Amino acid sequence: MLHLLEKIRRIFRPSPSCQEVNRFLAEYIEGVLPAETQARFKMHLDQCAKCKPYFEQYLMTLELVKEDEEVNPPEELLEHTIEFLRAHLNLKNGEDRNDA
Amino acid sequence: MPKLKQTQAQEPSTKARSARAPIDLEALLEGDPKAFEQLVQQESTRLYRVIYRIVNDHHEAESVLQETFLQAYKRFHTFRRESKVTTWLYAIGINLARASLRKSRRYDTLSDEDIERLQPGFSRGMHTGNYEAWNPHKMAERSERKRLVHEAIRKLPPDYRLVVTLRDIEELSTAEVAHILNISDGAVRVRLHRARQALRSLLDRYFRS
Ligand SMILES: [Zn+2]
Repeated sequence: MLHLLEKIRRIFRPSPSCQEVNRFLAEYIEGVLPAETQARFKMHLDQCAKCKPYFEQYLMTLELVKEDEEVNPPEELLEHTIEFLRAHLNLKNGEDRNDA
Repeated sequence: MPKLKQTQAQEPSTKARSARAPIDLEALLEGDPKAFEQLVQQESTRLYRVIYRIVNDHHEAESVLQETFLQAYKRFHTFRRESKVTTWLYAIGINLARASLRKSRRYDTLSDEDIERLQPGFSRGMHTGNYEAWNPHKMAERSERKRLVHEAIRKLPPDYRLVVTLRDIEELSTAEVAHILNISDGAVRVRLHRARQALRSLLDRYFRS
């Protein structure tokens, strides 16, 4: 009986609005919402004429951002850094520490 | 260090935490130079990229990176083991990078009001904007596309650029980013979401049909 009531309750639960879905899009993508909310969001995003293309662009934006790797460290970065640290910290090569 | 460069060349995606020799944490915290150099070798590239994206100047980024390791080495005794040592290291680096940025505003970024304007609009819970799939022809030109995306990211205000860098580009977890920035997981996601929406909106100008 309870089970049936719960089913009926679910059927009549209003679909989330575009705004609600939008507000939790980052959570949705990360999959941290409760399973039922996750499912209701998915249904909205699949079916809503506004949210569907918006969400596609949002995901595309993420893909494009991940592509951005234009920051290339200078070749000698590591050498410079280690030289700098050795000079400032009085580090030896690391081998003679055990002798101390 | 030619050997290290080779390894990096074979694994261009330093994003994915590749199989790295684990650092002996106890030795590191005791100030063991070998363990410390290992940390420097493993984290320099990625930490440099993060710092660079804050300060936007190669020379300054290198100097901030060096200062970060220097401070970390001197402050290992303050490490509380509440996070990974790399998370702690990134927090130091990012704070130094922000301080450097405050000293010299190098270029104009969008304001918080601009970010607000770039968010989608709603009326009675419904989207007010019209969204259509982006034009594949306009997106096909790889170098132009990359330039536009890079420019759009560069325009974000520093705090927004930082979450995008850490979470979406360097692919740290939400919890790690939260720890580094000393804000809640929820606050990370809110800022990230607003940044992504602003980027979407900026890119929409170029890619719409
Ligand atoms: Zn909708």
